[in-house]
Amino acid sequence: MIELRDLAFSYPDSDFGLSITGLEIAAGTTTAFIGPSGSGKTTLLNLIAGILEPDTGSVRTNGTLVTELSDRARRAFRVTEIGLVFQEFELLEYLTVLDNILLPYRINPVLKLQPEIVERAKTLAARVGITDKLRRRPRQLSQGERQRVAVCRAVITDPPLLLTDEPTGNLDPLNRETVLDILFDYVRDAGTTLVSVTHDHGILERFEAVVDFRSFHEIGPDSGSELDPAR
Amino acid sequence: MHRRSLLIGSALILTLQGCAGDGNEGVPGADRSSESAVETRSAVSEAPILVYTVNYPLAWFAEQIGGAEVHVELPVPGDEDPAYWNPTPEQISEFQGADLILLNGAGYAGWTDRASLPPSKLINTTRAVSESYIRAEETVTHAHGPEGEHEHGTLAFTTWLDPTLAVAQASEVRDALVRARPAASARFDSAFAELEGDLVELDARLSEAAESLAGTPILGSHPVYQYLAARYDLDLRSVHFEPDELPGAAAWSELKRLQEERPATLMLWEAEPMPEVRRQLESEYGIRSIVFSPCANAPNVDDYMSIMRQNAQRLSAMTE
Amino acid sequence: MSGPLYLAWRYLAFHRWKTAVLVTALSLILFIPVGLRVLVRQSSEQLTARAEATPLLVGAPGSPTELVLNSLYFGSDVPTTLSFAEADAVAATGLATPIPLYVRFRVRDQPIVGTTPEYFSLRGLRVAAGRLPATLGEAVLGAAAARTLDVGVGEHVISSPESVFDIAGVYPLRMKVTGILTPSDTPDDQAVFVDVKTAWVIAGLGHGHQDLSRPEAAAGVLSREDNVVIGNAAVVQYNEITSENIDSFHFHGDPGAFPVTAVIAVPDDAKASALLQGRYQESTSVQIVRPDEVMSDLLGTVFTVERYVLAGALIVGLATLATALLVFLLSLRQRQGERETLSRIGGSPGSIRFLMASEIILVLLVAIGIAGLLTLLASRYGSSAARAIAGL
Repeated sequence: MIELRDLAFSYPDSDFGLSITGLEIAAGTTTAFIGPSGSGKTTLLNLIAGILEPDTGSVRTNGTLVTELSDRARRAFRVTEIGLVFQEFELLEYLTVLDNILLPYRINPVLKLQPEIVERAKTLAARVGITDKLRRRPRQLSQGERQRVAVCRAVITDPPLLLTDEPTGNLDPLNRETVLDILFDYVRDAGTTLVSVTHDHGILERFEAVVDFRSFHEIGPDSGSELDPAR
Repeated sequence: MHRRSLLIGSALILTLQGCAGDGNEGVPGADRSSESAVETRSAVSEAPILVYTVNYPLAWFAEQIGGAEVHVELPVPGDEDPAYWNPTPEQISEFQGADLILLNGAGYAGWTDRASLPPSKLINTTRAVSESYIRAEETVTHAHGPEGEHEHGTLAFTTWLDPTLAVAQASEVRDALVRARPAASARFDSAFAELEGDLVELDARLSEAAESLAGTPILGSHPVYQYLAARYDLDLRSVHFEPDELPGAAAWSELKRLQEERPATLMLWEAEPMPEVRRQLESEYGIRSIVFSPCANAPNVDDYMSIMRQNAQRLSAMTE
Repeated sequence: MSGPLYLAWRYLAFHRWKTAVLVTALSLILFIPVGLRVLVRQSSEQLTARAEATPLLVGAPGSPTELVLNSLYFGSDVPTTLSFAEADAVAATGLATPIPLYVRFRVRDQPIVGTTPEYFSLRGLRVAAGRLPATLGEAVLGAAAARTLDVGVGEHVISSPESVFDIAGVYPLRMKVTGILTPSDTPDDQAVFVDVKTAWVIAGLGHGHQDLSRPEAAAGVLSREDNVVIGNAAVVQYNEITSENIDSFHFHGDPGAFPVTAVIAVPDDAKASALLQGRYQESTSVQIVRPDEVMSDLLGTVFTVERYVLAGALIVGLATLATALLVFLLSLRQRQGERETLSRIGGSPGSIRFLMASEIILVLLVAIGIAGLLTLLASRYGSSAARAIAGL
């Protein structure tokens, strides 16, 4: 469950501004953010993740008022409660596939790497079909395989919320479908809330809700009305 | 190997038995200093000065002068001539450990030239009187190397038979002991004075005995009496007769040649000759034999001074 | 292993060549000044200790340094000799005990030290096995010399000819090893000790007569006269002093005129030392030196050189550190994306900072460790190596 209230954000030294009166995304649903470049899709994703802080307003994710947390607590919240998948995969080249999947457990002391986590990593790897690549380095993998590793890394902590930013933007059509199948199979089975930024209209039918940032803008900061997920 | 140790008096034997080791025996006839040894024993606070010597006269001098302050060792077996004795390496090691090593000088005990001995411990007791050295009658000539023939001039080495040289030697012993233990110099000085007195008296007795022998040709059974002869102007030549052996033909012919040259009537022996040799000398050549012991090694009975006095006694008796 | 440390280790392992080059460069730049200093200090302490344990040295006029290096450390440069009588002259002053030294010959690379038994007392040398030399032709070996020459008590060593074309015809001397000394951690460990008279025999100043009766030796003489030194298989190439021939051994001439390279004078006390030095002050035929003063002069020069080397090492070190810093800064910039990723997925600032800093920290720690180990090795084996290199 994600709740945004009276959110306003602007980048310093920039005339870009984002203002949202209210937005609610129900737990266990899949939502796509669409819209032209610069319309604020990724900014909103970062606000939900607590990577960016709003100028005003509040973000409540899974019952936690993220905007009230300290920087340290927000990072701890993010690494435990939110999985993130990026367009550029963002794997560490010097780590093996397995170590990349386990990365969240090595960068914040709130997570302790237990043997069962390693088992879970292997299970996830088997599920996405990269079991034989666990000892490889990212650069020895194909683009599709890399994004599958990134998905495993995002869900290794079993987060209630998965945020993906153009997860298929760098993939060819075949890989795109494979990665999406994996993502949607996973969130369906795990009951995870999925919010994905995309400009690929061909995949929109997979989502239960779509937020169109064009209309969102039209509704605009002044209208005060809620954004209706269009279906 | 039998080792002989020279200890002074019974009191000293008691105090030093621990150091002396097994098989040592006190030298008889050294009783004279036993009283002084008892007197000075309480003054002996340090370990005795360990003195090694190459012959009996020096050992006896050291004991007379050093008393309880010294422990004297003469490792030469009783039946060997110290002049020609050769120590084992182990015995040389013992010499190396001594505080003082008393040498006779004049080439005596040739082994000391070939052994590794600490020069700072070596005392050549005739060093100061080396101008009195007498060249031995025979020399060894040999040739080797590019320098051709050369002579090894050997020196007569029985220096102590001249009591004035013996005094000089004893004086060197005294000096060495004083250097080693200055605190005891008074004791060394007074003991030396006593010894010197005895040696001067011996010199007077020998002088007296020798006076009547002036001009008389004398023989030595061995060339060991050079310094005695030089001191008392004796007309002495030497043959090579062993006291405990029957002389061979060569020895007799050597004697015969000498007798034709200068008929002698007296022969000095290092030890009692065999009776038949004594008889033959007397009957064939009219030569009387008397013992004049150089006392180079430790005697079984008596001490150095009494043996020298006996020598003088026999010499006087002969000339009366 | 903690998470960030593990990541740091993986990073360094992945970039192993870069890491190895950095570690090597930093280790060396740390080791060179530190190791040099340790080595110089240690060597100088050993040299000084030895010099201080040698009260006074009487030698022929010439370089005091050469005299000290030859007499104390058995250096291969042989100083001008003086006559053995000078030892007696020292004794005659009554101020000091003389210990002659004749350090000229070698057994292979081990110096033959001709001296007298007092030397062993002065240096506090004890035999670990066997006994000290008792007669001509016997030798006792320092612990290291015995090891190097691979000989034990009862075996033999042969003096080396001074040059291949030794036309003086001095034969090497075969000497019996009678003892091995306990290690003293001084140059004495390297030496072959003989009585000074044995050294004179090696110098050809004394001999026995057995060679006249031995045909094989006579052949040697013949070949020497023909100037044929090598090539006659029948030639006996060395002399030996045995119990059979020792009695015929003798020296030609006055031993007082025989050569020694130095005389150690051990004064009775400080006053005697001052008096003795005074006596020799005016002498033109001999010089008397205090080894500790000579060594401190020499070490002063060494320390000056050391300072220049250290200054040089410091400059090179700064350049190296600057280069290393540049490498780390470039690496940090290269890893900016990685830092952002870690931050975005929730990495704690502490973990990320540690990960970034650990590259330089681990490299420095390993470099310091290696430099320390090298220094330790240098301090343990370096001074003997340095002595070997210096030819002392």
